[in-house]
Amino acid sequence: MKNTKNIFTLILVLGFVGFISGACLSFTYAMTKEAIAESEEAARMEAVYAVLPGDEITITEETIMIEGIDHSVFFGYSNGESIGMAVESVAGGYGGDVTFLVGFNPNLTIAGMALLKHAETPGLGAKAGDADFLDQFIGRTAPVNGFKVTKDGGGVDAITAATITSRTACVAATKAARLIQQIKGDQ
Amino acid sequence: MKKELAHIKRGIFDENPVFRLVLGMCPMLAVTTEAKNAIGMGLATMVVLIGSNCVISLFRSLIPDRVRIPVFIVVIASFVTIVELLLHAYFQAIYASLGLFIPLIVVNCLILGRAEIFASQNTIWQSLWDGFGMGLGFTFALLVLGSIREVLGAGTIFGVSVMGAHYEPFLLFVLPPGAFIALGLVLGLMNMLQNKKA
Repeated sequence: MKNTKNIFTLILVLGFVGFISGACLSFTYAMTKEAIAESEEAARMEAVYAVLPGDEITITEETIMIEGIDHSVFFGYSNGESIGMAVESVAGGYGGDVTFLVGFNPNLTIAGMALLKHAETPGLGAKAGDADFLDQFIGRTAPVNGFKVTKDGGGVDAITAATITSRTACVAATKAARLIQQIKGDQ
Repeated sequence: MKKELAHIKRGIFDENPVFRLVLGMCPMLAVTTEAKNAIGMGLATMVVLIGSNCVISLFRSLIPDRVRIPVFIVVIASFVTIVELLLHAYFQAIYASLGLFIPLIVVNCLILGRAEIFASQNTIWQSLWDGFGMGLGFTFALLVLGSIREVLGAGTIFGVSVMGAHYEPFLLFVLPPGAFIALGLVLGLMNMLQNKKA
């Protein structure tokens, strides 16, 4: 290693290293940008198909404004008949906002739920995406006071050691149910 | 080839980053709740380690001594960001389960440690194997701890139930204290084996 004490050499080297690394990063970002957007979109559409009932369905996406906020709503059709709707629902979790996708049958019972985006602890809160937990919501309608975990007097079994994330899922499911009721009411 | 194999053996056993050097404790604590995450984290760290070791070794005679640490960090951070972008683009599932911990590879002192101790003083070929060996050792250590914690704490391994339906999960092991306890026990075991050999 060079043992230089010339401050300008040091500045030059650091600046050059920063420049090169910046160039590498911009290049990788540009290369992966499309693939990232594609894989996110694919994951989202896969979730939409998973939370809506039926196999051969077509999906249309609409943006509906409710109380001043735009919501993406997915409508599922099979042979021209509506078979349900799905909405994204965000609630505060243990490590920031958690986004769920909640699908509803035409009678407004929950048809399926999927975890879209989260920063919960792997192995604990991140289990909120597992079928074991989310399948509990299937077939239910939101109670008057909203979904609650058993600890809070509700009917949802919390994930072991992740009560906060379980509550988040309850809040998100309740929010989604309210939203769907409003959309239905408006139509 | 003999020397290269020696690097791998050194990384896995004699100087295992987690069990012998006790480096990289932050990701060790965070991701070893499941064997699957442990492997993902181990491999991601290995890729960064190999990349940073090679680049730093290649330019070792050009990096002034006084600014070497900032240069190392910039190189490491760049590799981590590249790995993160690539995972996000092509391995959505791994990214979804590890997302939060990938940026933390930057502050994994194992990588800075190898840059300082090894790559800045050795040829690029040796540094590549050192990174590979150390990365393997790190992955191996995470896998061992992840397996212990997942089996005891959740009764599963790689998500497959192994302890039978009546097993009551020993929850403590998936919580942070369980990581320290499991690490302590494995470290003790390693020392015991070492003492017996000597």
